[in-house]
Order: sequence, then C-alpha cells, then structure tokens
Amino acid sequence: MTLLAVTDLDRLLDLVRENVGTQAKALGPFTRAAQVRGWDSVAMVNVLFAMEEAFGVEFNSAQMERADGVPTLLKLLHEARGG
Amino acid sequence: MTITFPTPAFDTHPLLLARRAARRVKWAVFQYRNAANIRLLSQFESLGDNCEFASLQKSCGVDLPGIFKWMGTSVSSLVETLDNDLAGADDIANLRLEVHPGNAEHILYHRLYEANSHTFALVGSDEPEKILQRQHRRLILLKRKFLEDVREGRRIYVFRSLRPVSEDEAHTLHEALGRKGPNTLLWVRPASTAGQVGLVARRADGLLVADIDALAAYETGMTVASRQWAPILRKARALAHAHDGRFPSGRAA
Repeated sequence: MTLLAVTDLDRLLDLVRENVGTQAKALGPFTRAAQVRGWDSVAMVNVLFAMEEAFGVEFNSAQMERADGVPTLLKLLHEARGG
Repeated sequence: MTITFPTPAFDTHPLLLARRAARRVKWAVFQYRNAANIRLLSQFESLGDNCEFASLQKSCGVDLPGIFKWMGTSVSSLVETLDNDLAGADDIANLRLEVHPGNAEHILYHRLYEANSHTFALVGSDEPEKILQRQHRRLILLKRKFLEDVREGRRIYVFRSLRPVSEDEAHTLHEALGRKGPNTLLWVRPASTAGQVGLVARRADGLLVADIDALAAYETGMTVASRQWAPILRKARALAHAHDGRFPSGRAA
C-alpha cells in the first residue's frame, strides 16, 4: 500500500466514524457497511458527501450505488480521481 | 513478581475477529440465497407516499440511496418538483426537525413537499443542529443523483398510495417522469376485487398499473402488508423489458 493510499484510508475511516456514529469504531480497510450497525444508505450518503468535500471529487449515481463498504469507497475515490 | 501476559488489542482480539468473520459469512449466504430478489428489487425505486416499498427493499438487502424513499410524498408535490428539477429540495430553509411522538426519532419535515421523512436518528443520539446539517447534505447529493437517474431512465419508479389516486393523476405523474427521460412508473393501487390481485397492466403511454391485496397503512409504513409485491415486480419488469429491452431479468440495471 502506498503512502498516499494509507493517508486516504486514514482520512476515509475518520469520515466514516464521523458519519456512521459510535457503532463504527472498529473499522478497518476491509469493513463492509453490512457488518456495521447503523451504516445504512442514509449514513452512506453522508459518507459519500463528506468524501466529495474532503477529497474534492464528485461521484456519479452508479458510483454512489456501488458504495458498500471501505474497500469500495477507496476504489471509488481512485476512480473519481481519474485513476 | 507479577507476570503480565500480553493481551491482544481490542480490534484484533480473536473472539472479535471470529464474530466478524461469522457475520461476513452470514451476509454472504443471505446475499447468495436472495440474489434473484436483490437483482429484481434493485431495478425499482420508491417515489414515497410511505416507507413500505423502501422497507421491502431493505428487508431483502437492497438499500440504495433514494431521495423520496423514506418520504411521505403526494402525486401533486412529485409532479411539481419534477417539473422544477427538484428546485428547493436541498434548500435548508425548507427543512425542519421534529420529534416523532411514537419512537423518539427525529423526523425531517420538508416544507416544499409538506411531508415528513425518516432520519433514523434517535433523540439524544446527536445534537439536532448536526442532524439537520447531515440531512441537508444528504439531500444535496440525493437530488443530484435523482436528476441523473431520471435523465437516464435507470429505474422503474414505484408509487403506491392508500389515499385515493385517480388514473388521471397517475398518468400525470408518469408524464412528468417522461418529460425528464425514458422513465417507467409502476403505480400500485389496492385491488377493487379479489380476482384482480396481482394483475399488472401496461397502459398505452407505458404506465404500469398493478393491483395489490393490501398496502401498509401510514402508521405502519415500515412494514410490508402484502406477499404480492415480488410477483407484481417480476411482471412489471417483464412488461418494461418487453417494451424497450431495458431491465433484463439476468442482472441488475
């Protein structure tokens, strides 16, 4: 994992904790939304919005629908940056 | 002399890891068993009225973001907002938090639609101001998503109503969706006779009309009142697919 990816992961996990709530304390790079109580579509939209603000990217509708956990969010971030 | 044994960090404790692995397996089995229903339900999106259809989707593991799915909308407010490209839907001046008397949940009141929607945030879970801000941000994103979806016709939109809705009103809503893109509306209404339950018909303009035996009441909107939903959705998808080749049964749109 590159240094940039590690930094992205740390920032992303912070955003998830902020927007999903206290249930999301035990998060890791492989955590799926379905494993975390309270990480439903309402919380996911908040995470996506926070990611757009924090990373300066924009997700389209299909990307928003694919978001189902930390691994996908990292992948979407990479895609949105044109990677 | 005191001997201390190293204790694993909280998030790497073997019991916790085992529990997480078990949850992952359970979820994978659930998804495997429900694959066909997940594919089916992913092709539809609720336009509100109450939360029955969104609850049905969620109970089958389909929880896609949608602006109206948890909102008590009406035909007239939907037609008006579609024609205005959802102007004001994400304006914080139109939003107000209220408390649900039954379960102490913060409810979002939207002045534009004169409708409530769930926030799923319980009173005391966070500061109301923060909850309102999160709802506002959510609506900004969901509005953008909805407009993109209706332009591309990515979903079959579902409108169900216990309040009397005439066929003319349903056509008006279908036309409003049609002005935005190649959209299909499935209007689900209470069947007038037992023989009509489960029937789905396609009108000349493409509107799909389904008759169902029961719809969840507004007070019990988080429940699913009928077992007819899945057969109705399958028929609706087949009719939509036969018309223009979209919404195949093999995989999600």
